[in-house]
Amino acid sequence: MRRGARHLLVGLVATTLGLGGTLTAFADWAVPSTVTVKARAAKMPRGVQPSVAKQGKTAVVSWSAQQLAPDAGMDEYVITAHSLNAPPLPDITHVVAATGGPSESVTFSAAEVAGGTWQWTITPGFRHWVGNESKKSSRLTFATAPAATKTAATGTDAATTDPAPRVEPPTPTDVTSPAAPKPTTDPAPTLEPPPALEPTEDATSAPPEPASEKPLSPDPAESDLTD
Amino acid sequence: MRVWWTAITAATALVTACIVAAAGQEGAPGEDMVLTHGGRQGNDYRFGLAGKPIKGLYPGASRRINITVTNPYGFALSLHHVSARLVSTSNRGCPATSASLRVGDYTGRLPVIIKPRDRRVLPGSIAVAMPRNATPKCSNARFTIALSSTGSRTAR
Repeated sequence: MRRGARHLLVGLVATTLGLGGTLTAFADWAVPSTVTVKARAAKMPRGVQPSVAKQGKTAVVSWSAQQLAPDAGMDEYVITAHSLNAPPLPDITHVVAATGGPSESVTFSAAEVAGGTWQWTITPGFRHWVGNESKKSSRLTFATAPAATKTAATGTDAATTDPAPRVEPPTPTDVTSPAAPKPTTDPAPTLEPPPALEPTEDATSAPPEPASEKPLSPDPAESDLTD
Repeated sequence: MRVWWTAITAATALVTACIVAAAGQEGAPGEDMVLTHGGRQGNDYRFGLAGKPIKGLYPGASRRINITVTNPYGFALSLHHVSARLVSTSNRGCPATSASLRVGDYTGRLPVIIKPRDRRVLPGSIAVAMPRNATPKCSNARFTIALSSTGSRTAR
């Protein structure tokens, strides 16, 4: 009997262990699971090709605002004026903080652009990320500043005089006056017409000068200027 | 005595076999059971785990990865742990470190029970943020984030 009890005990223990082990195994499986998810960073866009227009003797560059992501507009834009003159003038760069509006613009002063033919590009920036430079804008030509005396009337550049087309022979005058400091010319705001007109003028204004003396590329491109 | 011994042994074996059979497990008795995502492979039992891709990250941006779990089995699953980590990037100059992208912990209550043959979007999510000073080389980069989950079969 004793032996029987012992065997019974052994059997029970075995059963218990089997049962317990089985339940434990089913009750707590480790479930390591791994899968990958993709995330993508936004791409800094290329700048938008700007449009340009003369306003008096200044150049107004404007372009559409850009976004890096639906919830993130650009912080700033770098606007660069590239010279098309024969020996090119140094580039002129303006950094403009974004306004948050649908479009942005910046003005290059008469002193900066006088005596040159220019094209502009836009480079967007966000924090320290920088996008690619845009295509160049159409070109604008500005008469040399010197036009001191005579120029006044003729208007060194398009803005004023230009309403009349290229034929304008007066321009040569500008040329005559040598290297007078740009600033001087600008003052002659007399004619300053409403900005609206400028665009067309641009084309016209530029051409005359080059012919006379300067290498200010009289580029046929002037037509582009019209913007 | 021998008769006793034989009877007890036989009974034990029988009981054990019954218990194993009654457990109704999908795998055969004695199989090593490992549950992982993605469907059954060999002796592994996999459940579905998926995260929705995110895009439009930029310096200073933060996004959330929502996770969906699919339980293809006839028993409930209990998820105890969910985590994520940045594994790689597509651009060399954009290292797979927290300097490029920070991947946070799962935020949400655990465990989460996934009913048998059910699919569920977890209540929590995993935050992903790009540091403000992330290198420009990370522009347009693709990041691979590994999601991990651990769980077990549960009665209910």
